[in-house]
Parts: sequence; structure tokens; C-alpha cells
Amino acid sequence: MRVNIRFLCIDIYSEGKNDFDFELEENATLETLIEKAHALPHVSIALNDLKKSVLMINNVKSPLSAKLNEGDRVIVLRPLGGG
Amino acid sequence: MYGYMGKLLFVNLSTGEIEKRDLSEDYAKLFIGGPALGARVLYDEMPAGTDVFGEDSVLGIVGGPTNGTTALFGGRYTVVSKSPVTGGWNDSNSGGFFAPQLKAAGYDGVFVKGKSDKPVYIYINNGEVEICDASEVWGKTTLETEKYFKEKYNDNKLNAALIAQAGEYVSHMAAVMNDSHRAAGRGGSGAVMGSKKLKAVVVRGNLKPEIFDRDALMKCNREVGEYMKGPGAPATAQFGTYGTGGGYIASVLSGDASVKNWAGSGVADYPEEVAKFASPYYLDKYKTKKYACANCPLGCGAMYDFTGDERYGDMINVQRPEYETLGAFGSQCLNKDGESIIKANDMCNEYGFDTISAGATIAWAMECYNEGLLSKEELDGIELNWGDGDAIVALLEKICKAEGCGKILMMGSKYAADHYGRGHEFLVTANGIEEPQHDSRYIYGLARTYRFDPTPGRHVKANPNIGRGSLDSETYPEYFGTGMTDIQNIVNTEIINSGGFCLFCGMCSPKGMTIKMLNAITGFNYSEGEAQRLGLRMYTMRHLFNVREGFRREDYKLDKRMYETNPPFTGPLAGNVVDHEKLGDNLFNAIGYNRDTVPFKHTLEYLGGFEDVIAELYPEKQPAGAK
Repeated sequence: MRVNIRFLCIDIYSEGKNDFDFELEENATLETLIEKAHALPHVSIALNDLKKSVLMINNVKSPLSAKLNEGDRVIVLRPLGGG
Repeated sequence: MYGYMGKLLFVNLSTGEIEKRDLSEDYAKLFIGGPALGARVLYDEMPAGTDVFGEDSVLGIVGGPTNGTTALFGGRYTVVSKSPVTGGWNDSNSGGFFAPQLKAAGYDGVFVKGKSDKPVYIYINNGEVEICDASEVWGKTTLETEKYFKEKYNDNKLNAALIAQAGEYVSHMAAVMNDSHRAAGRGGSGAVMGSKKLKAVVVRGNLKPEIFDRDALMKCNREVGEYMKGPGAPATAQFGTYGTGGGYIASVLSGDASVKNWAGSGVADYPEEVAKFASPYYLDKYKTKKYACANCPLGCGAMYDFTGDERYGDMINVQRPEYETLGAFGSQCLNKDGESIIKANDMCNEYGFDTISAGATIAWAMECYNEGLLSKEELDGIELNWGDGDAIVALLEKICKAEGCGKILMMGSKYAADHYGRGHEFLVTANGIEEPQHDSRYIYGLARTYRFDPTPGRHVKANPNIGRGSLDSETYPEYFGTGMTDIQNIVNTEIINSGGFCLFCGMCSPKGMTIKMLNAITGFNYSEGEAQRLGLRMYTMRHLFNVREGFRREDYKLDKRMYETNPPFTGPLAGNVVDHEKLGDNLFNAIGYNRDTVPFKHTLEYLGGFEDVIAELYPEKQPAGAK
């Protein structure tokens, strides 16, 4: 199944690209997706830190154990603005 | 003394007395500069219980040793005073180009006491000081005031820390402004300046501090540059391109930023397709150029032009709103009308208001109106519906001109709730000051900062790294261990702020760089252990101002929306409750204060520099019969 993950994070945003599609096996969990996403070349933070981010599936905050479905959109949030 | 001009200026506006004092090396080494040095001087100069608007009240404008050197990120100065909002300590800092010019004029800090009976400004040029009549420029906006001074002295390089109308009104939301759009905005120091009838401190000169080891400083700068291309590249790219608002959409969705006066959530009430219209990703179509403060390699600022707008006409060379301003006038009010946020930001800059408190006060009034607690008549005919950008600008205009309900609202949300006798349940303040756009139910550690920092309700003080979205129960089971993380963040933040650095230095430079730079500039040669003690001493100095004012644990107050959520609250923070008492206890245990927030005697002895405080707080008991 195909799912999309998007990083809205100051410490991951890189070269204008923060949005990725992944092919996962049926019944894959959010944790599986996060581990795959962490292997992307521009993701420099530790896997444990990435897992501690706010994670949302289709705009609902979700735990790492949540099951994913075809077409799900996942957002990873690690904001810290300033000003 | 390296890194300093070695001079502090004291001006008494009641008597006209001008006194130039040497800055002692002891004070410089113990308190560096900015807020901590300011706190030390005000502790010495202001008696306990001083009326914030009285003759004895002192306002300080204090630089740091990085200012006027080539140290990257070293462009900030701090305004210190008692706060008319919280009744306790206040410090607030600002960037731009004032800080190096203060040094060039010959001083590390300017302290003003007394009150003038007519508007005045202080003009400092290469060490020489005059108190001058400001009648001609009283009532002018920030830009008009700057233009007046530049024309009067025929000098485009002079700089001024000034108040606009907000300060003249003695509004509790009044900022001290410089460089047309830079603001030491929080805590009402502009009101203290206005109460003294002090329009501006104008500085000019060509003096320079000596550097202890220029080569070492240049090496530090190169390391910062390399870091920004390496580990700091993502933050550099995001903040350097989109500014502080680069994380706005993420903040709205995560629950970090306020939505609907902290009672809503981004996913339910202000989703991404709405938030984008108030973000730099949309508004940067008006961007004409980047803006960077003195010695800043990041340049998180930008200027906008938008012309021919049917509501606002031509707005040329106005500042891109910062993240805080986008949140306060945007998501907090459910406002997706980005152009109205640019307008509101510009009005606040021109009239000299803190955008965080101004936006939050309007959001509070908006909730009151929508819940039937404030009527259209009480708001001078304005229908203050959620999300109405025009209504926000109309109400802000009332505030800026101190007309009708604006006379009440310009004093902030807490004052307004007390005045109307309504809407206290919708306040989101710490000791009366409005919460900035980082929710402590998202970043748990901020609940400690918001409640117990000597300047309550500030996001630019320590502690953004405890919890993110929920308390990290692996790292902090039952809050265990937060105190040690807290004091480490305190140390880092105090050194940044007192050194005259920008906080973004922490994000864009390798660990330990700030103390390395300070050593290169001053030759004080702080070791890692001494740096720890230095940071905690500086925090404690600010805190002691409040202790002497009589502040104890129960005098630090948070409104409920800052630390708990209740149904029907939805979104990622639903159900989050932050135990700010426990966070406070953990800090006080780690730092060595008692539960009532008073530092132990042995803590003060260990930190050093507090002999006078120890004598006051812990007087020696006389033996029986002794005289």
C-alpha cells in the first residue's frame, strides 16, 4: 500500500523537499513508516527523537502502534518557532 | 577591560544630574551584561517596593560584551526595569543596530531614574551626554521619531531606543523600539520610559571595545559559519528563508501556537489550508529584501511592499511579521487574512506596542464578544467576530489611538477583564502578561518557565526541551530528572541573553560556542564549570529582584488554559495537563532554592557575588545580650 509522509520540522526540512511517498506492506504500523523515513538521507536526527515527535495520521494524533491504510497521509511535527 | 567600554551612565531626570561611573571588572565577570548586569545594578539602585512609575524607579538599557565586536549573532541589547504588568522583574531584548552603536557612543549601559516634567531625550555622542527637549517629537510614531533625530543631527548612522505613542500613554503593552521595527516588547518597559517622559536614548559614536584575542574570535566565527553549512543547515535554510514564521503551519497543527485564544486546535479550527494564508509561504510574495541585525549571518527578517491595496493603500518597506505576530493576530484570532496581519504588525511597530500582548488582548476581547460577555456597544460598534481581519485592525486602531475601548484594552487583557469585571475565564496570562505563541501543553517545560521565570510568561527564557506534544515518559518518568535539564537550559539561555547574543546563536552554532566567544572577547577564561555557575548566578540575580519585592511561590500565577485542557478541546493536545508545580519543585531542588522559591544561603555562597544579599536574607543572629 502507498502512504505519504510529510515533515513539518525545522530540523528535517531540507532543500525544499519534505514530502515523501512510501510503499509499505499491508498492516504496517506508523512505527514502520517512521523507521523507513528515518533512513532517508537528509534526516539527521536520532530515530528515538523522531519517534518522540507529534505524529498525525490524517490530522489525528496517533501512537507509533497505529495501523496504516492505503492512501494515509502522515505528518511529523517538531515545530519551534521564534520571534 | 576587554570587550567593554568600562563605563555605565546614570542620568537622573528629576535633577538633571549626569554621572559616568566605571564598570567594575568584578561586576562584568560575575554578571556579563544585559539582563543579569541590569538586575545587579537595579538591585543596588532601586529600594525594595519602589513604585514602578515613581521617582526612584530605574530603567536600564544594557548591552553585552559581544556588541560592537565582530562576534556573529552578537547584536542584542536589553531593556531592564520593574514591570508594570507583573509587579516584578522585567527584562526584554531587541536586535537591529542599536547595541553596537551604544558601545560606539562609549557606554556598556545607561540607567535612568527620576522623572522629567516635560518630554526629553538623552543624546550620547562619543561619551558626551546631554538631556534635550523632546517636545517637538512627543506624540510621533517610531518612524517619525527616527526621521526627526536623523534630520536634526544630519546623521543617518545614529540610533535610538525610543518610545512611540504606546509608551507616552503609559500602556502596559508599550515596547521600547529601535531601527523602525525592532522591539524590546515584553513586560511594559516602554510604559516606564513614558512615565519618565523620556522619548528616546539617542546614541552615536565611533569608539570600539578592545578584544582580548581577535584571532580566537575570528576562528569562532569561522566555526559558526561551518556549522551553519553542516548540522545547522536545515534551521539556517528555514529561518534564513522564511524567518521566524517558517514553522508557523507546523506550530498551528501541532498545538504549539495558539488557536482560538488557546481553546481550539489547528486540525479542527484552523487547518493547513487556512493557516497557509497567514504564513510566510503565502505572504512572502510581498518580500522585497532580507533583513539581518548587526553581525547576523542568518538574516531571519525581511521587508515587504504591498501597494494599491484597497483597504490599506500602499505599504512600502514594512517588516515581515514574526512568528509570534502571525500567531497572535492570526491563529489566535482564527484570522486567515494575512494582509490584515501585516497591517496590524506595522501599526504595532509604528505606535510602539508589543505584538504578542496586543494580539492576545484582541483575541481575549474576541472570545468575550463571541460568548456574549462584551457587547458591540462596549467595543465602540465593532463586530468582533472570530476570524475578521478588518475588525481586528479596527480594534487595534482604537488601541493605537487610545480612543474609546482602546483606552482600556491598551492596558492588556488582565487589566481589561478587571475593568469590565468579566472574561477572567478567557484570560491566558502569567502574572497578567499574555502567553506567547508556544503552548506549554505542547512543550511541557515551558510551564515552569512561564510560571517561575523572574519574567513570567516568556518563551525566550530557558526550557523548550522538556516534552514535545506529551511528556517524554522514558526520559522523565513521573517528571523525574526535569530539574537537571532545566538548569542546563537556564545556563545556556542566560549566557546567550547576557552576552548580547541572539537566541538563534544556540541553533546555529556548535555546543559551547557562546562561552568560547565570550572568552575570546573578554579574556575572562571561564571554564566549563565556571560557565555553569555563571549561568545560574545570572538567573538567580534576576530572581533575587523578585525575592526582595516579596515574591514567593504563590505570587507566581498561571491562568488555567496555560497548563490544562478540558473537553470539548480537540486536537493533538487534548487531555494534556502539565504539572507546573512539580516542574517548579524539580528546578528548585536542582538549583538550591527552597520550595517557596528563596535561594538557600549555601546556594548564594556557592554562586558568589551575593554577599550583600546574604546579609539581607540571612542576617547574623546577635548573641543574647549583645548590643
